Amino acid sequence: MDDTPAVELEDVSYTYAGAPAVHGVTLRIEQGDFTAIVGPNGSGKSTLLKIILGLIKPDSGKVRVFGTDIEQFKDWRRIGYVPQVATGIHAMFPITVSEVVAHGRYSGFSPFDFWRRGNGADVDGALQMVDMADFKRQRIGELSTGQQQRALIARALIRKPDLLVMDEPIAGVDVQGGEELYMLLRQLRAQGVTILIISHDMGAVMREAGTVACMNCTLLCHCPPHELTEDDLVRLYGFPVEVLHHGRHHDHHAHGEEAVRHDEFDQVTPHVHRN
Amino acid sequence: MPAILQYEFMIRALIGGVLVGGLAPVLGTFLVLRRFSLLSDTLAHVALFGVAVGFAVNVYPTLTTFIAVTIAAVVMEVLRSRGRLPGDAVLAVALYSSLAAAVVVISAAQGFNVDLLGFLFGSILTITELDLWLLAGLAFFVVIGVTAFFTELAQASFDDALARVSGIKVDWVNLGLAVLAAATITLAMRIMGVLLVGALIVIPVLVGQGVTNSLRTAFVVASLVGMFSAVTGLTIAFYQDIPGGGAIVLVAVAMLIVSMGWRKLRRRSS
Repeated sequence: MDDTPAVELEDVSYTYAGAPAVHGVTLRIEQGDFTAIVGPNGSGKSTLLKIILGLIKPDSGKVRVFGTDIEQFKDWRRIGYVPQVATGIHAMFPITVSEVVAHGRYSGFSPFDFWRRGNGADVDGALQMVDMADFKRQRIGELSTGQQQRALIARALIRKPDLLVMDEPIAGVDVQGGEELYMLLRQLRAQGVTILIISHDMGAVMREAGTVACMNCTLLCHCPPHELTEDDLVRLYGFPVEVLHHGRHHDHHAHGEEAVRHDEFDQVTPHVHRN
Repeated sequence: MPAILQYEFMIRALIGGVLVGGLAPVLGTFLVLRRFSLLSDTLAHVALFGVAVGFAVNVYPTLTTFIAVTIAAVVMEVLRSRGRLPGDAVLAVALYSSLAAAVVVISAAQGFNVDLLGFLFGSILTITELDLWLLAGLAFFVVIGVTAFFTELAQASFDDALARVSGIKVDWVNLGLAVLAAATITLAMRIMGVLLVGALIVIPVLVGQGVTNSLRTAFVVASLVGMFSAVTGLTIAFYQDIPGGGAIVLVAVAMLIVSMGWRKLRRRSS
């Protein structure tokens, strides 16, 4: 792994319908880091993610992924993307879970792809990682939102990405599914995969992420979770927010720094409470 | 030999029907999956304008139709993809403006003798040997193109953003699909008619979607349903002396109803 940052934004701005959606964001995400973007609804988190992935062209600023300007970026195999499945996939779309996962293998034009079936050890392996092996022949649109989300995660994992980008990966996933996902993300991070997620689950973000990027149109702060102050959260959400502290301790490794031991933040709430 | 095969025009119609029936749902699969089914209907109306221009300027109408429909398909795709207008509004504007232009051209060129009903509802008598060769060439081109780019087409239809982050040039895929749809509609129009050509692009696809969970299988089933509808419909049309396009569409609709019933029964039993 070289020193090139996985993602680098320089003074990126984007205006949508006359209003700034993202303004002057400068952000550097090191390879192997686990960064969570947090912020209220409409704060530009998803827009920022789309700018990073080249889906939206910013009005100004520079976007580099693995050191390459996103407009010139060709090595898409290094990126796994899991979009938000807020409304689910249309039930009439005739595509099985294994076909969707097999799509993740795409690495360029291959004229005989039609004749390759959507099966294979890699498809089975990716589905097993998200506990979806029993659903491989089912139509993805007929599954629950949480199951669809897991299938899309398997689609991203089959690419063996260096950078995994997820937009609210546990939206619609139950508590157990969420915990299993974070366990999986821990394993991937241990293998050196850079993880970038958007999440509203502040408890999990505080527990799992190496760094937190607080977005509210501008980037308010980007730091390890334990450095987040209550003032930062007030500035982010616009109302008094305090953190429930529990007795357990947890180690964070922020891009190669020494492990920092600190209280685990389990929940963000408007009330103060310490166990 | 059955009576239907004793007439050369019917043999040409059946060959054309099999080609159109197999071809239309191939492209229709990707249009329906994008919820862009009405593109075919809109392009068919643009085709009517192309036919009118062809007769007005005394040029082979298939050529003028192909040019008009291709330009319209590309412009609509660009407008849709750049978000200048909502997708359904783009279709509505193109449909009404091309229909209006066709009416004006037909009215202005009162001198030419066009069997307008034949173009509106299809006419198996109008299929020429040249039409068949063009259809066969297009079918070959579409089958090769769609199978070669199947993954790209499928991914772009499933989720535009996911496809782009996989490295697929979605804009080029969409443009290619629009041009192939334009060519298919131009040639299918001779058999199906302007008003019904869209039905053969959409209905067999719905049958395929209903009976299988797999995209590859749905794609093949849709094509087979299209061919079966065309042959059965033309046969019924020959013996009952009714318009071929209408008979083909009604057969396809009957198959859709049967497939929906079958799917319901299968769900109940599982």
